[in-house]
Amino acid sequence: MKKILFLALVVLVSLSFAAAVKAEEERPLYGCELNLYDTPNDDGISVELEFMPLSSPDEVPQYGIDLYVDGVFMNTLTVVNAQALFIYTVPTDKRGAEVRAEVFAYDAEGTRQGPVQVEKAISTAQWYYSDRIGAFIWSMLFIGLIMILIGKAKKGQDIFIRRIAGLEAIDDAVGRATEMGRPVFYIPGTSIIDDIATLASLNILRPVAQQVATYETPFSVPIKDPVVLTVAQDIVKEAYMAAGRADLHDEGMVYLASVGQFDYAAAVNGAMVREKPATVFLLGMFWAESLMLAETANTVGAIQIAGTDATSQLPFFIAACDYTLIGEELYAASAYMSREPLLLGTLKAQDMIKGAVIFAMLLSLVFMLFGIDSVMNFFFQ
Amino acid sequence: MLFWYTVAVLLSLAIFSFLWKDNPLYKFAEHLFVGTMVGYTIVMVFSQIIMRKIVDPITLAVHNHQYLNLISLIIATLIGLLYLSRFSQKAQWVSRYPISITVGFWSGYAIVTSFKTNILTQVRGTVVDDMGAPLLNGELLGDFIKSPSWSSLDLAVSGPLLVFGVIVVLIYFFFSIKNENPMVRFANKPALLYLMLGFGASFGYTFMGRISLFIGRMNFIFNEWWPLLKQTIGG
Amino acid sequence: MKRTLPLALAFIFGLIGIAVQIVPALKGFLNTMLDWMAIIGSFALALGVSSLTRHHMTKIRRKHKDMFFSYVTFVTMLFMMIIGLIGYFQPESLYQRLFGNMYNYVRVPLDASMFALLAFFITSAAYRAFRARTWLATVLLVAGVVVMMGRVAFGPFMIFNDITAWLMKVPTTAAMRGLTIGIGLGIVATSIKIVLGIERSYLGGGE
Repeated sequence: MKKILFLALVVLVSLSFAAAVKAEEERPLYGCELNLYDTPNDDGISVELEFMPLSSPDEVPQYGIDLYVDGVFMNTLTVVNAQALFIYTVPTDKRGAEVRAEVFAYDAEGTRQGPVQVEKAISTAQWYYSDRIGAFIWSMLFIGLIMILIGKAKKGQDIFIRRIAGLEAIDDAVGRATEMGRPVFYIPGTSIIDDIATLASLNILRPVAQQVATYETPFSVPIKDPVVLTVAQDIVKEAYMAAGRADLHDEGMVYLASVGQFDYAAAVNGAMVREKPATVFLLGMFWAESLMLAETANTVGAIQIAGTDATSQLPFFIAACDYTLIGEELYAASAYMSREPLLLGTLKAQDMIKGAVIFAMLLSLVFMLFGIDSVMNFFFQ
Repeated sequence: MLFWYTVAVLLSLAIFSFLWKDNPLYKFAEHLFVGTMVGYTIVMVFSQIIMRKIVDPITLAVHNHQYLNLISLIIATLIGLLYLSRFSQKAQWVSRYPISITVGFWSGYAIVTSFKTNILTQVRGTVVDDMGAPLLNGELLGDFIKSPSWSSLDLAVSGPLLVFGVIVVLIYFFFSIKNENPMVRFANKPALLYLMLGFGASFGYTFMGRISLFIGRMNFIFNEWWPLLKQTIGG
Repeated sequence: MKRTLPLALAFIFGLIGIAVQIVPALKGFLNTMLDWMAIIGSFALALGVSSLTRHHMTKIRRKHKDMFFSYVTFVTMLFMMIIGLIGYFQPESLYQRLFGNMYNYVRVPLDASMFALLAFFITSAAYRAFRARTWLATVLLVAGVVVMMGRVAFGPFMIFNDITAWLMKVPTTAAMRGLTIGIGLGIVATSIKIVLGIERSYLGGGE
């Protein structure tokens, strides 16, 4: 029995080889390769078409591909035979649509031959981005860790946070402005609210405003984006109330200076040379205007406390400012200044995730020394 | 044409006068700049959002009886209108709704993508290079020992130095570990060295680009406006 | 109503934000959401313009010595707005051409000139930074000068070019990458805090 089966297998394999060889010999005149498949990582409203002409351009100068969606003719794609891969996304406008593609070849006389190949595919929606699952799992771990540490912080467990020079300087800087009787300027970056750096800066605005209110120092917050303006107005108002100095609060403290990058810089530079602030905070997202603001603040003799997560602007702040919060220090600031246990718990969780990332990186590096990349692919997909 | 070019040149000079000191010319240019940009933005928001994203789609939705679409557009518009509650002292807090919707959405939106692009992709780039070759590579070190030269040394040490730099910089920014911790103490000086080398190099790299911006402005004045002026006056 | 509902909204829309990033099937919905955000945000401009107006009106009311310039802002703003809006409804008209010219010969040169000022600001910043006498500032100085020379190097100075390339390839990449990873963690942590309602300063803070 086994023998018969074995023989049958041998015959089958050799037949298929023979067929393949025959096919190789008799290459069809209008040869081509058509591949039709559902678009990956989409919501099911298209399929991908890949087409490779195999005949020489002399034999077949041009191909035509007729497209049907659910049996209804859509259009014809004309492909000039450049013997190169042709890629096209067929829109279906709805999920579960069957796309049929029929390839016709035009010979040297221009006669339409075929169809030489027909393929079908159905457009389907995917439920997750295959390349983002790793990031999603890491994020969920992060959220879980934050929950655990917040629970601990709520129970009163002490969380240590090391000194951050730029933040320690805030108190002195505000005090200095008070002594000199000159205003404090706070610039929450020049980006919009979508930028998490802007939100991080607004989180620092609150304790700064509270301090300024307590010291009765004049305060000015020029802003570039209208949405940021509304948020900053609320924060400053509440900070003055919390400091018990609602009487000092003035709606005009937080104002829209302008709306574009350099007109904003022009307006704020003008305000700085005229009002001569003693302290200027430049915290948030910045572009090229970072240095204009920092340098003008320096020329009027202000202490500058800067901070940004824009790695391209950090060199300028480091060179031009008295204190600079580098990258993630900006994000840590709100927890550091408020000393709120919940926020400190998050900071601790952030460190732990960072430790895990470093550990996973080292592990991947070690395995890569032996040419094993599966560890890296597992952690950093 | 000469009129507009002259306006452009005078405004440029007015801005440059700021380097000397704050003066009425600069103030004029600055306030003109702000007015122009705010006016421009109002027109852009009107044409690109109010018309293109609200009025036109609503008209279209009504015309095509796409009521679901219509409801979605109307809800978004109503939420946006809540911002205007700011103009009333009493109902001011209502403007927190559009704010929290915007802030909430963008925060959630940032989580997975930031983890992917800022962290996972960067770490992967520290384990293997763009071509997929490991950055810690014993063979390259062997090559250097076999045939020592500047280029084989560069190949052998660049990868490990890069990996080391990334790790010490990461450790430098641990917040919850005391400064006396041996790991933090070990990483401190090399991390600062890497950071300062990096910041200095980026500074120098951008410096030359910024100088050329000024040359570009001078080019406009002397090579575009001046010939045009001469041509107009002369003939 | 004043605090709980905004926090709930931030949570719900935060979950939506996460969902659209991981579920491709929500692509169409994502486009709707992006339109929503653009529509909602556009109304804030009214508040912005009102704030700017108030700022300059105060100067005029107090007869500030620079009140003339506040008028300049008002007049140009209204002028731009009027010609722009008429131009929108009458394409190809004189108004639209005027709007285009205001953009090309007022806005563009002002923008370019402000940007060009950076040549001076960067020089003065470099001068000050390079005067500092700590070992860190010296490292910054040396790296900066080497790269500046490397970018214009010729002949026998081509060695600076090689050093520049190495400085950009190894220490700069390492430093920026370390920073970027840390910043990524900061962004994710801050976002999570906002979605979960732990960080609520953006609602004015307080309880």
